[in-house]
Amino acid sequence: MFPHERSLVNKLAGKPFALLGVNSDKDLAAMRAKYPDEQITWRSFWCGPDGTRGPIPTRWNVRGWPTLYLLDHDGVIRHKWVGNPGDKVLDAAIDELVAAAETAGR
Amino acid sequence: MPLPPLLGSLGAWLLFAAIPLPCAVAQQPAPAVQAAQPAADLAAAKQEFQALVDAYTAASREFAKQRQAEIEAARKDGKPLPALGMAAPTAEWLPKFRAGAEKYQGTDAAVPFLVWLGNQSRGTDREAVLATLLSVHLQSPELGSALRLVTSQLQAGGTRLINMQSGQPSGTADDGKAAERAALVQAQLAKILAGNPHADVQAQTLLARANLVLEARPAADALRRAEALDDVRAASKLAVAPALKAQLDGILFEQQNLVVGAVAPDIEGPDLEGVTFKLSDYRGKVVLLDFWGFW
Repeated sequence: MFPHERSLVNKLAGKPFALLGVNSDKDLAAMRAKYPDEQITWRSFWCGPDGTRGPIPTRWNVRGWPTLYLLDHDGVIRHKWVGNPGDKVLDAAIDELVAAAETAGR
Repeated sequence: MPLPPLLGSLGAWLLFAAIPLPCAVAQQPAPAVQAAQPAADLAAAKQEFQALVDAYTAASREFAKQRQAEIEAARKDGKPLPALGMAAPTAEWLPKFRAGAEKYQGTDAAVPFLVWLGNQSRGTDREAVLATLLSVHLQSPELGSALRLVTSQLQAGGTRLINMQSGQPSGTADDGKAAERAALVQAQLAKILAGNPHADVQAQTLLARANLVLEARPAADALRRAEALDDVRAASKLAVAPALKAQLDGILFEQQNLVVGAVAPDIEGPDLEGVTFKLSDYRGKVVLLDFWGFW
């Protein structure tokens, strides 16, 4: 999923869009050692040392990874996917909401 | 995105473990009323059960590992994939669990052994185990562990067969008895609600009933979902065990605040550099929120 997410971030630069992660690695240093920073070009919350049982995944009742939420520009949940929905589905949903955000922002 | 490494390696043996064996589960005529049991005995019996489960899990994992190696070897040599299935180690473990169920017959301690046997059996064997659980053990505080066994009867024939070549489930086609099975499950859940005096079992049963609706695919209609949420709310009020209460409140929060159409709850926390920020900082932008990790 990461290559597509990187391309999304690039493609939508300057548009009303943000990719935010919620990272559940327990040990950030160990994660960075294995996967250099340039793999992840977007901002992430860190769930803390309890990882998948940390406060954010617990509150959001996340039981499968990846789980994706797509929020519109008002913060309303418009899509929820447990598991990768596939690039096409993801792109179509994002494009529609970004267009709506641009119209609303005018 | 990579799966947690556990899933990859366990996937294979779970596949084997999911195949029920048609072995008989001996059901002795049991006393009509369950005998009272000292708590210490129950704790010891649970430990005994857990040790047996751990040993079985290790054996299954080892079995799956060997089979996986055989499959890979066959694939490499271009030979037909070896036949699998009935050679799974479950058969030799059934008597051990059956012995536990008999040793503790009629007491709370028998319940986990019976549930395990039920999960590994099918057809009349499974029905016999369920019948014992729902009569002899109807009033047991341990009965919550049997709920999955009750609701899993909704799947065709009460079992899920796996095509060993493709790894895809097969044999889950509607055999025309779906409505009958649904009625049976509802009746059994109602029997537990009417007959079991323990608050946590009541709560777990309400949750099991709600989950039949909340987890239905395609999604159930709004009225049925609202009724299911009433069940979860009632369960949350009843629940005594903190973990159960937390689970129920988590489901309520998710169903009310984490559904399409709801405003996403705010998140505040540190980023990977330790700088605190909020989800709501990004209001005005479309946000793709990705729960991820490399593990």
